[in-house]
Amino acid sequence: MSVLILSSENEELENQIAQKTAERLGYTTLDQQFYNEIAKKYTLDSKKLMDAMIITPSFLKRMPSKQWYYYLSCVEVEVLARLLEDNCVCWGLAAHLYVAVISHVLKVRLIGGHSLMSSGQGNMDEGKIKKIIAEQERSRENWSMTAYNRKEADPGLYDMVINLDQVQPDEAVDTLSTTMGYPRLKAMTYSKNNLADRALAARVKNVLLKSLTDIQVDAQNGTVVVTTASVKREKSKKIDTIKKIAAQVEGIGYLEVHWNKDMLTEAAMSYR
Amino acid sequence: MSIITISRGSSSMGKAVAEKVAAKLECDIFSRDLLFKTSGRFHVPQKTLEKAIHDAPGIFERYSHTKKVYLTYIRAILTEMVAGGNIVYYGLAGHLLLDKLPHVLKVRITANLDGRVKRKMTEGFSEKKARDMILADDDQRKKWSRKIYDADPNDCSLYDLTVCIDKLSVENAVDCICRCASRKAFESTSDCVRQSKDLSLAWNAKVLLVESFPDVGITCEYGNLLIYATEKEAHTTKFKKILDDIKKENYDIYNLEVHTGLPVPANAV
Repeated sequence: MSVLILSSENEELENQIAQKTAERLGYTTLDQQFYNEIAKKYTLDSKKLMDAMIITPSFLKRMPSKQWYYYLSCVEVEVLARLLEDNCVCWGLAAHLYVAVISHVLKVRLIGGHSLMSSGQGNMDEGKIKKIIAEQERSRENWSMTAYNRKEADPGLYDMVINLDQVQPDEAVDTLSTTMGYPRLKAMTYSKNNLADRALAARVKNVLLKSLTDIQVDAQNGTVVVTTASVKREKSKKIDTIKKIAAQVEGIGYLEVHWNKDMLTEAAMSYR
Repeated sequence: MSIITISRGSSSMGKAVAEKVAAKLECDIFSRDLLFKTSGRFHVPQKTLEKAIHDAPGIFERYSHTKKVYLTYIRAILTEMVAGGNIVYYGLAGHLLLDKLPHVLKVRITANLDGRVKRKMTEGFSEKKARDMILADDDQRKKWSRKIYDADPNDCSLYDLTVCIDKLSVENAVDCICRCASRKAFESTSDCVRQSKDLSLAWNAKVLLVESFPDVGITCEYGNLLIYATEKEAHTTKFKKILDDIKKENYDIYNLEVHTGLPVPANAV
């Protein structure tokens, strides 16, 4: 029927609220345990996959950019496939960043509530907690900007933001459960198709990222548009490769490849 | 007995939400009336007050404290109005003007830019004009909040609840806000009423001091007014005269003390 996506800087409270809301609504849950399943399906190292969701690509951290984007893409494909099943509460998988505006998906950000934490930060003084939170936020913002060019804390990404400094977790569960019951959030054919298009684009991107870089994929009503860039002499070769690889994906109605000139490489090559 | 502030950008349906919330909770509702009342009491033109609460300080205003004086007037009236409880305020900067009252439910209504432009166009503006007006207004609000309160109006931590009106309808948003207002944290207990009254007393005392002594800090607890001033300020005849006026004008003040040489506490007004 509908999907609830939660995001928070406070993992402990996020877990607690998400679990209780799912229980109350009778929805399935999708959380970080899903990484193991994804790693198994794509034969990836699950620790590295989890790392990819935290760190930005870095040669020193042994996470090359190409691999990093592929890992992210695997998570995106699998999460979107699960969300198509509806009636789900999803958190801890960065879904708020890649699930676009879809009418039956409610995206909620939970902020504050650090005084309510039972472990770790609960005993620290306020100044220290603020410093740690600010550092975490900076690192998350850096990650989300590199991965999806979106700031995680931007309220424009969410349909609702609940501040847990005043609102108790149980009250937040009440609010979320009631909100999910609004008729506006019921899944419609149109909104389901939107999500299916998003999932299709993610699948195409995933197969392309195995061998190519610099790929953007969009889908609408089964028509997939791949945008890429390369030097002029490799244009036809790259387009053919994309068409050949993308053809493996099921569900594509029509495939378009948009090519842009890679000015930087072109300039560097002409200088040589 | 709820106190709710609803903050919103222009053409974000905030007014419609506020009116419905007030009707549902049977609360008084006000926005511009605040400036009207302030203007009447302190004999300052409404336009000047509106400029003080809306526009960011210009180059010359940064070195004078006129904006601070007008804001003190506005806050004194607002805290007086709020002390009675059962109020929905959807005017400018409610979340910042009442930031010292924890039981106030601070709500932000957001909407995407395209939707806001469409709504503005229904007032007879062209698309470009509507977009420019909205962006200019947002920019002014941002600058004002940054300069006066060092805060960003888009920072969700300033609010208890932020609702996007594009996803939820006005009715859904109203329902959400009313449910949230009924939570324990936002109940108007006797302690909250006392806090509101104390804050109102502190701001009313500040009104008398702010013109001549803008950096003085005031706290009030259980009617005990503590004024934090410098040694130099406290020994002037003008300061002593104002203290006498404060005592005369505010019968609710139980005790008045002046502290000199101490740092101004964070909760002081």
